[in-house]
Amino acid sequence: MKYFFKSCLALLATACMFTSCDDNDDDDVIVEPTGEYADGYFILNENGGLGASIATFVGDDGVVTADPIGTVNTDFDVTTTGTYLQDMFFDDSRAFVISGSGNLVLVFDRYTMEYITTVDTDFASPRYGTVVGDYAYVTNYNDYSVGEDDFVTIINLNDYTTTTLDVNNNAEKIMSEDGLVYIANGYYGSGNAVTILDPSTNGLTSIDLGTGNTPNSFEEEDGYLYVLTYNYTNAALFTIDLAANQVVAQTDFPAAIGEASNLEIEDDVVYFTVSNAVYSMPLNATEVPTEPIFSYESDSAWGVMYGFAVEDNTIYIADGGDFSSNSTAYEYSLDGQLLNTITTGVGPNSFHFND
Amino acid sequence: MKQFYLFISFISCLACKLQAQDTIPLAEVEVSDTQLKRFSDTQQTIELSDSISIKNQASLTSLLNFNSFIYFKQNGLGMVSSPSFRGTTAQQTAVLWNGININSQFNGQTDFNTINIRNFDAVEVRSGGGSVLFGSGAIGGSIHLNDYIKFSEGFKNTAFVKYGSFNTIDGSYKSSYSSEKLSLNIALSRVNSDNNYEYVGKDRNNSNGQFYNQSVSANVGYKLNENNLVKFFTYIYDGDRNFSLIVPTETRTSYSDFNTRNMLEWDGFYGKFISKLKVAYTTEHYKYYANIYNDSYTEGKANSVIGKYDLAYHISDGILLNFVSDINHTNGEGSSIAQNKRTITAFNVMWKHILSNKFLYEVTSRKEFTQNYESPFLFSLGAKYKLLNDYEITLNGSKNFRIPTYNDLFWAGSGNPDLNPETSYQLEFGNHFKLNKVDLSITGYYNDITDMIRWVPQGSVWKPVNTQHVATYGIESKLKYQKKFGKHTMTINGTYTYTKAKDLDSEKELIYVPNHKATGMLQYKYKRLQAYYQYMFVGNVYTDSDNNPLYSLDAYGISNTGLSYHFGRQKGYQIGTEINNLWNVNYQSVRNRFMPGINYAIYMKLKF
Repeated sequence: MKYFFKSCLALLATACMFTSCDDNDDDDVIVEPTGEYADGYFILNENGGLGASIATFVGDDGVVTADPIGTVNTDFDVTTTGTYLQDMFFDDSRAFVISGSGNLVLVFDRYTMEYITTVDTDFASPRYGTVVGDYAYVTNYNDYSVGEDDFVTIINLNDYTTTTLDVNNNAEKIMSEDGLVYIANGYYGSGNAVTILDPSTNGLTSIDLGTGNTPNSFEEEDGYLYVLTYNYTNAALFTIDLAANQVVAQTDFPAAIGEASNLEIEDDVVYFTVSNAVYSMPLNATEVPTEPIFSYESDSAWGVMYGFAVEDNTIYIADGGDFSSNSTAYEYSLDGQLLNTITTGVGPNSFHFND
Repeated sequence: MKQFYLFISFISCLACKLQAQDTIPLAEVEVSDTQLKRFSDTQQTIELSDSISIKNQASLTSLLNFNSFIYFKQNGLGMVSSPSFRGTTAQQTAVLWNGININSQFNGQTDFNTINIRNFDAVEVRSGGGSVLFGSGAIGGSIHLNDYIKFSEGFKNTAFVKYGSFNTIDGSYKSSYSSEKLSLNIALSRVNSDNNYEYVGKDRNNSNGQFYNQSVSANVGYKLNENNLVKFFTYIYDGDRNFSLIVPTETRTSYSDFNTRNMLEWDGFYGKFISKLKVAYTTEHYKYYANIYNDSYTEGKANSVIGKYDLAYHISDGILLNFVSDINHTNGEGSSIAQNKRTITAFNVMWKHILSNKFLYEVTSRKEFTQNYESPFLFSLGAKYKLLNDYEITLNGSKNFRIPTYNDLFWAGSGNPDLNPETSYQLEFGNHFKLNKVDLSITGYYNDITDMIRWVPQGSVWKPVNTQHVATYGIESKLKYQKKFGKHTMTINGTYTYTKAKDLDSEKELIYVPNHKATGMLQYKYKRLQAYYQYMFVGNVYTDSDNNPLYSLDAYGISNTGLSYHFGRQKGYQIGTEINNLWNVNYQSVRNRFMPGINYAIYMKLKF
């Protein structure tokens, strides 16, 4: 009986949702965050020039949907979406997808993947995005060979108007935590800082990581910002105390490990990758392990570990493949047992969890 | 002294006698692409005349797409265009200008949208291997852009202008004067287009696709005497294109080309000997603007000096022995390429023997020498046999190559100086029927290409390596039919090709090679009125290396039609109209690059 009741509720919710779809102006119907794609995760497919499935969806029930966005929005094609899909990020109700070549951000309903709008002003090779309150922040390469011209596009999520904010440094990865925005100032060996953006003032605070130490990934955990860098000799993990905006620790990795990237912190354990191998160590460890937990097989020389995430006791790996055909993603247990293999679209580059 | 006098008299008499005996074939005087005329008996050629080119857009892409075996992929109308001939890559089709190979030193290919056909007297397509004769890249086949030097034709002018949809203006002017001794020709052409066509079935226009190009060519021939002829050819091309956008908000880019080709030639006709000495100087310069609103660009510049000596010895009526020696010195540099020089010297020996009016065979060979890579010995063997009055067979086998380009060898941080040329062995068998009013040719071929150069990731950089092993095979057929009844003339031209191109390691088909392509042209003439219907069918192509049907591009069939009227004295004036993509088909030749729907043009041609 309880089950029946729940089913009825679900049916009702779905009915409401469809009603609300048919009538976009009807804002009065408030529905629970539910929809076809409410429980599971997206694998963003970078796409290169092919212009195929934007994202692959893997439901909590294990069901894989190859092209949810294309299925829901049947009139979509690449002339709307652009290619080189760099990043996907969310606010409470919306999902945003950045097209690097299209200089645009696509806005979808986070749970149904219905298209809402496109923001296409104030971008120049956009890279990554995050949301604080009513604003989205998107980094831009601008001229790839010049670091100083990089900027952040600020999107007002109420009316989708945009403004820009110069970063005066390379602007690549971006994230937000507790109302502040963090920008990793580095790509391909140039830039060696982290910038903190305060949305209330749009003021920027830069924290220097030392010449050559180019950040490639970062995580915030309990008032500390952890930044993984590489300087062509060795990698290093920086710990920044966000109360003082100061580097309080620097753990140098043995040069033998090589180029470490893809920093993830989950339950006080640090994960990172080198080539096709996944490493882990306790947070605050001073010794860096030289043996990986596991490695995976890849014949992609350019797309090894193209996407990486650790979430809820599972390690997620996306293999870029040859960038001109469908590729593969894997789910591993924390001790390196292969749990699941998923066929993705072209050039899968990141995981985005929807729940 | 007396002896010397005798000797001179003897020589002069001999010379007179030889001269009297000799009739110099017209082609040897008029055409500089000598080897095309001498050694194409056992392979298929198609000559595309002015009456066909007038019905097409000014680009070489349009002309060949609708009238030859060659398949093209274009990033939208007028944008980067690369051919696939017999299933091969764009670098495996050689383009020759008056016998000189003009494929880019940087990427080894010709962009077929950067050649305006209105400048040339003839465009010829030769299928199959021809590296012995035409050098690097003649694996799938070769395209020949030729100017004719003609004498005793007086003063002639042709003005042509075509105006079409998307504000496209295509104009050319040709003027020639020739006496018995002197021949002067000049040709000017220009095309420009807003190229902002609407995508079929979409609320969007092609954006940032505008382009122009203009060319000047001038050719001079002068007969020093009965035995010696001097020619000079020059051709200058200047083009600028913006590259069209998939999404209107993409960063706008543009590309410009400035190319010059010049050649001085001295032909000597000495009885059984024909001697041709050529010196050519060619330049190419491209600039790529990654953002049209910035002044910064990347570029590549290369100059080549080519010397060629060609001696033909007609041993007897049916036997030709031909030696060619050439030297090619290139000096190139670019934004990502340090200055590099390359010198290639080559020696050819060729033999053709017409045993009877039923049977001939030809043997050709070439060996190149260069410091940059190991160059293979190239050869071809061909035979033609007339089995029946109306049925001939041809057989040809050859070894061909495509040399590494400047980008392959010298690209900063990536170039691989240890590359070898791509090599191909191929065999073809042709059947040629000439029945009453029908000409039909069906040729089967097999092409085994090894050491294909591919750019693959090596650590953090991409490097070219000799890796792929590919087989291409298929059938090429062409049909011509003409019938006259009273004042009516009907002509049908058609081609059909079946092509398979396979990577022999992965067993997958190469991307962008359709299994089927067909072209057809029906022309009907009544008195001064002419009408035509032109059709092209391109089968579906894979666009991903896995041959996933999800990513394949659909087949398309495109029709053009037109009407023209000839008037004035000797029907020298012509006005015409044309409708392209008559059925408004929505098609893409490259994934996500939409081509125009129905569009129109009117033209006028005046000969005086």
